[in-house]
Amino acid sequence: MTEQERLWLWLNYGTEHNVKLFNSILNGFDSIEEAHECAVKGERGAFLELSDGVWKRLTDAADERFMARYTGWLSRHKIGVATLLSENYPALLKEISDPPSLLFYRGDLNPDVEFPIAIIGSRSCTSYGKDIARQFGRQLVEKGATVVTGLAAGIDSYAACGALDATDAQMPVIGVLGCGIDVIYPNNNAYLYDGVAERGALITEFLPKTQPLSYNFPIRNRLISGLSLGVLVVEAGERSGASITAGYALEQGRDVFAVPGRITDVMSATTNRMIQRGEAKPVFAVSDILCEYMEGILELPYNATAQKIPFSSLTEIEKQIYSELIKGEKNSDELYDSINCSIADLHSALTSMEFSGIIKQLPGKVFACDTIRTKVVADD
Amino acid sequence: MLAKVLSYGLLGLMGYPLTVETDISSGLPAYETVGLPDAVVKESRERVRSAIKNSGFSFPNSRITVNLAPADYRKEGSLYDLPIAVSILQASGQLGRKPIEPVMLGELSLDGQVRPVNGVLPMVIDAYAKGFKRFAIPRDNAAEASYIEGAEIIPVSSLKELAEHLNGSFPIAPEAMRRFEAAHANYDTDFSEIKGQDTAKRAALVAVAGGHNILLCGTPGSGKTMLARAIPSILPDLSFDEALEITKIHSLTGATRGRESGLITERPFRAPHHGASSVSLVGGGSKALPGEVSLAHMGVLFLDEFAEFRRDVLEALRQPLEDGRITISRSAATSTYPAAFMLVAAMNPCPCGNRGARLKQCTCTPMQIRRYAHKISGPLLDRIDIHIEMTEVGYSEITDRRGAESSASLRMRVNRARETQRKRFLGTGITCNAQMNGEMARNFCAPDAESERLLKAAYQQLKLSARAYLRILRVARTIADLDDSVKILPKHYAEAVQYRSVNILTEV
Repeated sequence: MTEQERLWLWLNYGTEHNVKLFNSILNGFDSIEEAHECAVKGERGAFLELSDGVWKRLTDAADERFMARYTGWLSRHKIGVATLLSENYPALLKEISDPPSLLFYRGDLNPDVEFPIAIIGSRSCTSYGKDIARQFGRQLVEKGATVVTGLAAGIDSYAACGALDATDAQMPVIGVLGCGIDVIYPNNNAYLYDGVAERGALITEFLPKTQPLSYNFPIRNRLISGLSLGVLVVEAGERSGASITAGYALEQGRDVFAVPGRITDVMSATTNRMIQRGEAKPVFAVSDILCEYMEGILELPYNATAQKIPFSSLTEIEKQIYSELIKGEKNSDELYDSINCSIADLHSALTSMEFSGIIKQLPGKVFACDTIRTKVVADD
Repeated sequence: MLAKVLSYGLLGLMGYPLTVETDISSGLPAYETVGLPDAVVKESRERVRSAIKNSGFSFPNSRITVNLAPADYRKEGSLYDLPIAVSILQASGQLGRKPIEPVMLGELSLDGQVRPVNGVLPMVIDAYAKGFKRFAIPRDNAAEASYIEGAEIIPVSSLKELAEHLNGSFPIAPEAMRRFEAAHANYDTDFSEIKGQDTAKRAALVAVAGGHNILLCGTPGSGKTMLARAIPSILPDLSFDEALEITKIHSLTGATRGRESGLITERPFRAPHHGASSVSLVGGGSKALPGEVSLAHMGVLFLDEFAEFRRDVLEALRQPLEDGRITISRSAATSTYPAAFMLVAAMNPCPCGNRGARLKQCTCTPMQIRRYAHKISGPLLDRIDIHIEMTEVGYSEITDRRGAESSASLRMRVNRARETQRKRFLGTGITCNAQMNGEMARNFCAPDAESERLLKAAYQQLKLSARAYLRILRVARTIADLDDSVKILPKHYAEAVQYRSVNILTEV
């Protein structure tokens, strides 16, 4: 850690990563060294209108022993620090109106990520949102993009999983946290955190040990859009945090993309609305995003990698099941009603179709065609 | 002088012969009961005194000592009133000098009538096995004891009647031996009444046919409770030995008193409320009495709102689910009761109940759902072979185009499948597929090459645990049995995979 980073770490700690306060203190002095000098000497007069709390934090943190403990802890936990002046501070983030003065990170913070795209959406999502987030995450990374995600439950996590599914990518994913770098939230995402830190980077502006409180997330969201060239909204309900991120993206002049949904789907209310207002470009395939930034992009449908299965290779019952499910999701009882076979034979057919990837099972013993994994084609 | 009368005592379901000894000696009038009597036994003094007086005998006006031997077991209950009264009558010379042969049980009322007591059947069975042949028991308990071939049951309605029988003046005719008839009388719900839900009905049939435990997981109003209540109607017919075993347990709690047939002739269906304590579920209390798991022995234990039971209560189910019996230790006694029941559990998929429903929106957060699902521990879920999700029935299914199979016809299929299993497991100590341990499952359910491929796919794609794999093997065996197939075909395994635990409890 350089001396300059240590001083920024000190001021960042003292101001509790408040960007405005940080800048006003910095502007009151010729240099940050001078400010530090004054804090060490206890010259409160040199600072303009400082609350007692901040003054105490500043003087506490100016103590050599405190700083040694702090930096020691960071290096023990392999947590890096990047300031606005550091070389590895993300270039795109510097462009926003209030970039955080200091970022904590785990993993490899590569400053020139080729082309970062954020994938955002609700925490509670439908199976449609889940599949799209995962598939788009993977396809984007395979085309050389880096997925930026909030790593919350739902769409965020599935997008990160999808990005990590792409095996030989340089920088598949950047996770932006709404809590301290050492806090895992939600706690069953621990394995995902490790995967992201290992192959990509985890970033936060919050001080270590900050808890994931609800008001942290909007603050975090401006980084997600700020780090990205474009923001893809997969699914967002009526009042979703994703709409806040999309709002930041528009303010920051980033592109906004949205995956359209059915007008009756609650979880697609915001995405459909954004498309209608012209705020977001409707996206049917990752090529719709890629073509905004690259030349000569060919159509890349979401089911490009689906395995083709000829209709004639299915058994009689499987053909009937497929013909029913292509019309929409059905549970096993509804299938039994419309298909002419015993319930025992129906169940074994469902299992073999699940295994061959033609259908998938959803909560409530509901079945649906898995059009991402397989594509049943008519015989020519 | 001294008199001895035989009676019987119980420790759990194990019996021991007990001798009531009464000595009358000269001295100041007194009455002493020894041999670890509890409060009810001590109180028998007042009942015995009045009953003797009101039956036309005289109560000796001297020093009376009653000893219940063996003296180191704790004696409980009112069943020793009758033997004590008879021994006092003999000791005071009012019954002649002939030794009194029958084993006696019974509570006395003040006017000398004999009232029914609990636990008659287990005592008579145990005593008969130990060589006692004649029994004098309350008339209201006579029916349940009359199924024991070779035992002479003398039904007693009053002390006076018994005294006249013993001195030979008016002998009582022994109760006629009864033959056992399995009843399939009135069940609440017939399978043909359940509209739609064919998947769940099929799962229930498979569960009953192999004795598998089943978890019904579904939205409110999807018919979980109705299906569970219909399950007793397709349980296999009860054999005499099974009926005896069930009645023995129920006799301890007094459920058999005054029953027309004496025996419990249908399989029990127990549905304790989710507020139940672990003592009420597994048994206990100062007397170490059987709990719901034992009362459901050979029948169904239905736990509605499974996730609302207290965690420690559910965990207490693990031992009986594994061993088919439960050992209760209390300071006063340690008892082992059988508890081989079929567990039928029902729960909602999430706290609001609407997860997976298509007509309503689930309002739970992923965190809430996970917390809810985690109320049921993994080891407990591992003991439930069949998991099935149910959703609300659509209108087309309420009107139901296909006729549903009736319980009577389903029961015949269950009986046939159970018969196959009984033959298969002859000499192994188990009776149905669900009881197979890992080694047996690998022996009896070994998949062929094609099935092996299918199971391998299941193992990899569904990320099954080793235990889930065993569950699928066992359930596939039952499905093949229902199909009258000696070999387990790939389609049987494929169907079994559908009854694995899915979505709700595993992936959130």
